[in-house]
Amino acid sequence: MLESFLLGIQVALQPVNLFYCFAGVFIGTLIGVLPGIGPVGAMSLLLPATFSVSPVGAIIMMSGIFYGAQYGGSTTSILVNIPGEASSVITCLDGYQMARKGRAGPALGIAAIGSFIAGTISIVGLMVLAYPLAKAALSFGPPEYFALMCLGLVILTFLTQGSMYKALMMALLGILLGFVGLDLFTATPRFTFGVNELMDGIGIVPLMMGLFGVSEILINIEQPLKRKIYETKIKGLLPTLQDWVVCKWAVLRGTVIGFFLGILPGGGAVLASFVSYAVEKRVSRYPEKFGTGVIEGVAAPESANNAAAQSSFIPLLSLGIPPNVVMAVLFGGLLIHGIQPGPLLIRSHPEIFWGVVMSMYIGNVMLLALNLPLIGMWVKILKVPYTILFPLILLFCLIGVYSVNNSVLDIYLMILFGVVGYLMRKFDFEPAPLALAYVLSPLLETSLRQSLNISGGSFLIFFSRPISLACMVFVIGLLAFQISSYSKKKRPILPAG
Amino acid sequence: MKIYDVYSALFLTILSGVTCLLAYRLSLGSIHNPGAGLIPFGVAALLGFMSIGLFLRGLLRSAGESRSEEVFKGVEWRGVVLTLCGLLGYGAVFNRLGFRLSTFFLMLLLIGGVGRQKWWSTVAVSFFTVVFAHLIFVVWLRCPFPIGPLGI
Repeated sequence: MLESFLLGIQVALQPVNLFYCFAGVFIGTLIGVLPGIGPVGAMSLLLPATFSVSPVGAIIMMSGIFYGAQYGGSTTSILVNIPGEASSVITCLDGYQMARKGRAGPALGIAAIGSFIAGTISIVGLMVLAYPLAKAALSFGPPEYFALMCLGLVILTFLTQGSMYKALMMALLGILLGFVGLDLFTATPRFTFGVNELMDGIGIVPLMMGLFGVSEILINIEQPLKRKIYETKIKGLLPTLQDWVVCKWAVLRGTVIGFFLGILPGGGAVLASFVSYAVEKRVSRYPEKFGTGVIEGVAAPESANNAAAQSSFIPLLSLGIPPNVVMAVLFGGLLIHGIQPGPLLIRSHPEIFWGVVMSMYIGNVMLLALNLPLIGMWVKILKVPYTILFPLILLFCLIGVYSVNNSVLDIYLMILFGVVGYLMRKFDFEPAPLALAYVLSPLLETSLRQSLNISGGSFLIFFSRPISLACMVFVIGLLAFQISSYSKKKRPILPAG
Repeated sequence: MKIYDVYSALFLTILSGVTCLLAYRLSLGSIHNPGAGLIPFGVAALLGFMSIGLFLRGLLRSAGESRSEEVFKGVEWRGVVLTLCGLLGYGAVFNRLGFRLSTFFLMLLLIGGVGRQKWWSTVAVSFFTVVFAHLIFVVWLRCPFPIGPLGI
């Protein structure tokens, strides 16, 4: 363990990796601050730029973008009342009210410091849990993997804001999109329509950029954002002693909630921030004041989303299963660099695992420095008009997509998925289940076919092994719960008496 | 349940039907030794059933509603359409006009046409964007972008 720890420090402290770490957290904070592009879009955008970089440098940078975005997202929530990130939506409630009361400084301060504490504790958890989990996962066979992935997808659809039924449909559509290309077992072209460029399947970059980048811009320009930065002097970034007294348990509770919800397949930073806010309100002695500028309402969700951002690396790095869409992009990035995420990753590429983990410590320190003293710079960036910003984001999307394969077809695919994503948002379909299912599709199919081969065509194989049985029981339970709650909701309520 | 669910369900039903047909033409194989088309066939069929369910539910519950109008209410179509045309046009002319010229024209369209900025700021921002993008992607990252007429 100590050797691995030292190896990680050695890798993370290499000047080139320090640079990538800084670039990642800087870009992450930037995209977190700017509404209109999230970490999924930014990571997809930068994926092609990492091709010439070493795998460890690329993953350090992309990880930095993810957890950096969690820090940056709070700035817009507090100052503009527009969440820079989905995981910072809940921070708007109390953060913006604090800014209106002239307490923008402590709100930003507790968000950054709470994130730092949560992120650091979460990394320790990652180090402690990932290795034994990976060791246990070595005994997993295709049925266990299939059941785990099903569980992840069903939990994700269960937790979506809209209809679970529609989310499940999107997951199925995502799985279908993942079938495009050569069949992994027989090398038969599937759904390629004679287009050679589709033999390798639909690229992850055009799909993600279209669904999360272009569609977001189309939504924003159809009804332009009216940003009004609350004009207040940001002073006294360090919270007062009184703030610390009321916040310490909020930060810790947020960290614990975020850590465990981040590991959960289908969970992640967004869910963690909402749950921690709800818990904080429940345990508070003055719940009625939540939403009026209570500092715990900022500390808890901001700590939770950062803890979740770090802990969501656990299933990816130890099991090889991305628990959410952001991790799915990272999963794609690892595959492009020839690294297979999974239980063997820690053993076969210790420099990547430990290097990335150690870079997270360094990244958290960099983020603290970026987000507290340089807050004025981020506020100035917020003032860049969206009419200038969105063409630049679109241009980066176009260049990023083209440079993966030097193919114009990828540009068209991105536009197509942009329109699809736009219509999906309009018609209340969630893009996240589609994206995660698309990434998991080859793994799902492979493990299902292998399982059926092993069992001689019997689906009972998923119910005859303890881990897959537990997952499948959970899957069926969630689906049954959803069906029963739906039928109860729709049952006509008879008037009393 | 809204009326627009009927349209989206109809689209997904057709899509899954076509996918089932295409998957059927691939080898289905057997359950214990699945062919290339079996799993896609199963997934498309499941999506088809769910789409039909959504379609019927939408049809039964949306009588009298016209929510499809509300979804697009207040949308400034000019910006959306111009942006999509700009992106499609960029793809169409990228190889012929080259990276720099096509990027310049796209920026003109997006900043001036969609963003409605003043003409001089549109030209200036477009120009500097091209220079900035050239320095980052061509000079620094050495992306092999197509070169346009007269080597521009």
